[in-house]
Amino acid sequence: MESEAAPGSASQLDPTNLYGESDVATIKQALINEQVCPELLQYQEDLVNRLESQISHQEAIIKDLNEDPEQDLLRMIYTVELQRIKYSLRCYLRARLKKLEQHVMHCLDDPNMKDRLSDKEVKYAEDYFLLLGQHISTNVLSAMPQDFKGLLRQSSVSEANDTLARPNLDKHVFCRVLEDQGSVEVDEQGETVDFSKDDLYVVRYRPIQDLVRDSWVQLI
Amino acid sequence: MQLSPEQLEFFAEDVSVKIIPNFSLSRASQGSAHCIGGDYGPFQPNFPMEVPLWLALYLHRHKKCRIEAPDWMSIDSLQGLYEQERLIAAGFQPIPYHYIEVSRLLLMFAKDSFGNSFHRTRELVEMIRKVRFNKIDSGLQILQGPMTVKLNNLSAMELNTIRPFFAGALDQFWKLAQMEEPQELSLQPSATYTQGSAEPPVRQLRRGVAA
Repeated sequence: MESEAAPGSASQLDPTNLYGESDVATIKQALINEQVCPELLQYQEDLVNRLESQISHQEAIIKDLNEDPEQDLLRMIYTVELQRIKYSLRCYLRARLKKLEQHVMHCLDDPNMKDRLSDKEVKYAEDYFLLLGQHISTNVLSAMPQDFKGLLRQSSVSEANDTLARPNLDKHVFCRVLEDQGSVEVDEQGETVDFSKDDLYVVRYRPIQDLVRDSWVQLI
Repeated sequence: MQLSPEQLEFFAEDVSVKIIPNFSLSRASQGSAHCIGGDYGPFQPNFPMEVPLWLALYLHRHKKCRIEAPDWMSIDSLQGLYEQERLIAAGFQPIPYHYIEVSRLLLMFAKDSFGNSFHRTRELVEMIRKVRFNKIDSGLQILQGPMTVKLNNLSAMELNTIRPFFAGALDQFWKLAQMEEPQELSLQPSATYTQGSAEPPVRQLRRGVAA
């Protein structure tokens, strides 16, 4: 299988992760995971911060090269690469925001989920929830009968906040096994499947949730 | 939940290819490009080296290098792959994960990398694609219920193409398998717990769980 990590040695700028992959490859995998996974995953704060500082560092270098017409080609190479990295970063953040908007009430409600958001995302979620709530209240709920006016509960006799849109963890996803995991339970009935290194599977997300979180399995 | 084909091509552009540059960079940067993703170089005229596909395509477009077709895209390799694919009906032959994207990019933008074998190469890649997709089709037809399926040796584009149907069908099978009896819309709060999880009782609306 052809290598997908960036070739060449890692420059002094970027540390490499467990598999010797550069930050560029890591953000790529993170973005694939976010786009394909039904739920919001842990925000990769360190990775994003490192990339942002590398980006501004590189932008300064490009600016310096601007003065020298002989360095045109080099400058263009740096610029193209920068565009690619910014695109990856944007896709990552946008995929997260999209899921955040779908599940905003759940993310704010559940401390587990709230933990996975960056500070800016929490602020975004709160603002979005406020706007959404106002919109629904004025346009829809004000016209509903008294017992059904709640934003969070379907009716006043509901026992809990049940209008929350929870992510559907039973969706099927494609994944690649990064390390041998032996038998993995994929079913409440106890059916197991052998996860060996480099296997590709289509499987329900819920049973492999922890494997994804700990990076034993990557989504594709 | 979906990746676009353009995104797959974007990911494929990180694959390594061999190029033969016809330029060199100034000594100020040791003749190399120090990118965030890695150091590429030093670039020396007529010295073959490896760079990511995006860089190779960029340099080629500006007439700064020649791209060497990857080994797996030689006529012999592709021919062998095609024959194996046809011979062994169960399972798929090992093939580069981004073979469709890489071959498309090279055949479209770097025709000179193939010389006279250009048409034959394009033809062979098409044939391999067809055989593999036929196998996928017949595999999908025997789907019967919620199951975990092993998909070794499928490529990125193939997976992405069948993703909506395949994953969607499995999702539906799963949903159907969970329903013991048809749910009725009721105005009384009913204690319908989902699967023994700790979630609070939710009155089932007709459309079911939020997707």
